[in-house]
Amino acid sequence: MSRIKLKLDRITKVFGDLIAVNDLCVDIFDNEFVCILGPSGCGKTTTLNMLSGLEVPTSGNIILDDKVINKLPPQKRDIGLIFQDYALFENMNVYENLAFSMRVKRKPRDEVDSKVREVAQAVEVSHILKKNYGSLNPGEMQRVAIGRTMISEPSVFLLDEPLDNLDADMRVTMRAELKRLQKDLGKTMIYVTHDQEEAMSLADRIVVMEQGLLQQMDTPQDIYNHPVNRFVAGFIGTPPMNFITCKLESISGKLMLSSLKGSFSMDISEVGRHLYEGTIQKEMILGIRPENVSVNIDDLNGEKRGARILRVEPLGPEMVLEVALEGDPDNVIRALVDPGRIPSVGERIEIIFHQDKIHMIDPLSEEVLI
Amino acid sequence: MATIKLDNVKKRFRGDRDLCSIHGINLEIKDSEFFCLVGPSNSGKSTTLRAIAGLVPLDEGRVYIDEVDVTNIHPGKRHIAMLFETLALYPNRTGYENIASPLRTRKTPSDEIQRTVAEVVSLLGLEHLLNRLPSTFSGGERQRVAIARALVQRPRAYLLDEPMGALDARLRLSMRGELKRLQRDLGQTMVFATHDQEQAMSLGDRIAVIGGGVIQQIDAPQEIYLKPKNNFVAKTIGKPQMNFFECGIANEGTKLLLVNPAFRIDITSFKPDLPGKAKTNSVIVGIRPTDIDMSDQEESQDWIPAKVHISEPLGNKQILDFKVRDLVIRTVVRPDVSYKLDETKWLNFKKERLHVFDKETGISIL
Repeated sequence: MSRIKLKLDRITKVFGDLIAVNDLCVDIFDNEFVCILGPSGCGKTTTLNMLSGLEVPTSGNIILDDKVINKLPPQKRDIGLIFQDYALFENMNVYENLAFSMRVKRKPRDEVDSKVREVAQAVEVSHILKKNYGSLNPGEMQRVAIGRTMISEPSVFLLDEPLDNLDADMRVTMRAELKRLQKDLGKTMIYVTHDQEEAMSLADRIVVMEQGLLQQMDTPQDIYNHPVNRFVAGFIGTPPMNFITCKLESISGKLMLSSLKGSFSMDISEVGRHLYEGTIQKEMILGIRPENVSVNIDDLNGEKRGARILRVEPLGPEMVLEVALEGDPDNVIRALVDPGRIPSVGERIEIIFHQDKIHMIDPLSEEVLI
Repeated sequence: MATIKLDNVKKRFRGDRDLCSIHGINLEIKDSEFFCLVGPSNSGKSTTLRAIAGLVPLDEGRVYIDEVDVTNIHPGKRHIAMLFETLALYPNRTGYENIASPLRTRKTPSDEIQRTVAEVVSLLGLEHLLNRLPSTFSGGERQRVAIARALVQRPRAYLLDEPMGALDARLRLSMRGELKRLQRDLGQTMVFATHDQEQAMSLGDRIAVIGGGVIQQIDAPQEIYLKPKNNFVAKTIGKPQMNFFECGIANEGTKLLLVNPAFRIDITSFKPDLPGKAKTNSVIVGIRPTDIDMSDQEESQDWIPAKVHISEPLGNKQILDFKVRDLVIRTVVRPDVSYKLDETKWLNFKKERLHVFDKETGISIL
């Protein structure tokens, strides 16, 4: 087990009436890549600001390498911040950008030189040291920005949506590069983003926040497969999870889940065996991801769970179908399927829920029960 | 109801204008079609839309709406509504006044304004926004008000220029659905310009891929995805992007091979006519990340050994980047595939899904 590098111990930050961050507890391990993810206003930027020293927590402790650093000013924290726009000097070359902070501190020349060369090697920019920063491609800029922060040898890196201003294709390439670089450097990185796909793809573990509260902290795969509540279930994954309000009943020893209008009904005795008694005869939200809904477009046997196609979105290797259940047109369900024949709008099809992949959500507490 | 036709439309901008020049655009958009123009920034999408709307004087070429030449007709008389990325709502006017503004400009009688606005408002469900100022609207609400303002004009066609650029990912997804349903209900022609291939794929009845001020290909979404005419189209459509490798064509005994320092692919039975079609011995081979099989062992001698370079789980799938020498090969695999960094796996390109492009022109030669 790795050791804990950075500990957020019951951090709270209050601005006037607003509790921006509420009792946040997070342990980040050495060499870990952690993403803090949430919609705008969830408290992720406030958290980042407290880590970097731009804000002081109202209560709680930030503990870095077993030292409480709550009140240390940013420059004394051993934490390196990388901004969205990198904030490098366009008129200087790569070498000068890397050397800048050491030169300001009037370090001896040969010390600066050997440090710059060492860092340049690590982030693989040795071959472009003489190039002007302004003429670099985005991949090189990212590496220089990380290198510039590495010069001061921080023990943790904070990144504030650094890929936000790149176009879509570049982002995909850059995030792969960043992830590999982090593994090669073996540095602890904390990355703040609102983009769930980015968090999924980059992080060893994701911290999902909403309304100042920690919702879940887990590996991407576990968050995706086992979300703890409706917010996380709906926020992670694209196209988003389908939610259908249903009723749970016990009928002759079987646990049956039916939509409110009776458009479908299924036996969930197997997956629902751990549900506690109190949930029976109650409303329940069925959550199912679009890829766990299959459709039968061709040979229809004409019975239950019929649906009509509202919309077809071919996406190349896959296709999103938006369908309405028959007799229950307000329940719109998305299915992510392989593209075979492309059905037309209004066509009648059959949909199948993969039972072992369903989630059950309590409508009051919004907790995921299965 | 309208058909739109562009016949060899040219417009050159000198100096650094925000708009990109177009060099002879030919398009025929059918009545009640949802037509998407997709291309990277500075490809000429906006200029093409503006040419249809009449907002830029043309250097050459004609624009026809419903088979009538409108090239020299004033934009206001073309009866076409255009929606911009910025949405351009009046910040000091209420929702109602914003929606009514085009009718006021036209000096429509006020009872007719009221009736038209009321109709559109109920269609889009905007009742709650009528007395509020745009600064209090959410992103989606601004979007809907801008659409409503276009609808009240009862135009013959709609032109939309990146209308969802400013929305976050979740909202974009739901607006996309709304827009498509709206277009179907209205049954009117829409031309939608975007840099986002996924939006274009999911919305368009047909897509035109545009690049460098020239139309590269026009086709149904799935057709474009499966049969890109050149490597620009192949690169623009599909996510993650297609892999491209420079390869030589080689004969070895009876075998026909695509050769590259990192791998050799036997294409004898799949693309036997390649040498006749390729102008030179060197081509660009393209394969989509979803068209590569992966295995823990060497299934046959054709499989390529590759090291796991980086992995990105995305929930229902994962992107795995492999390294073969200096080459990065991107693949999409099932979410439950396990691996270690730098572990060796074997890859196989699905041969029937290989694309081959001319090295000089980038044109697909198969």
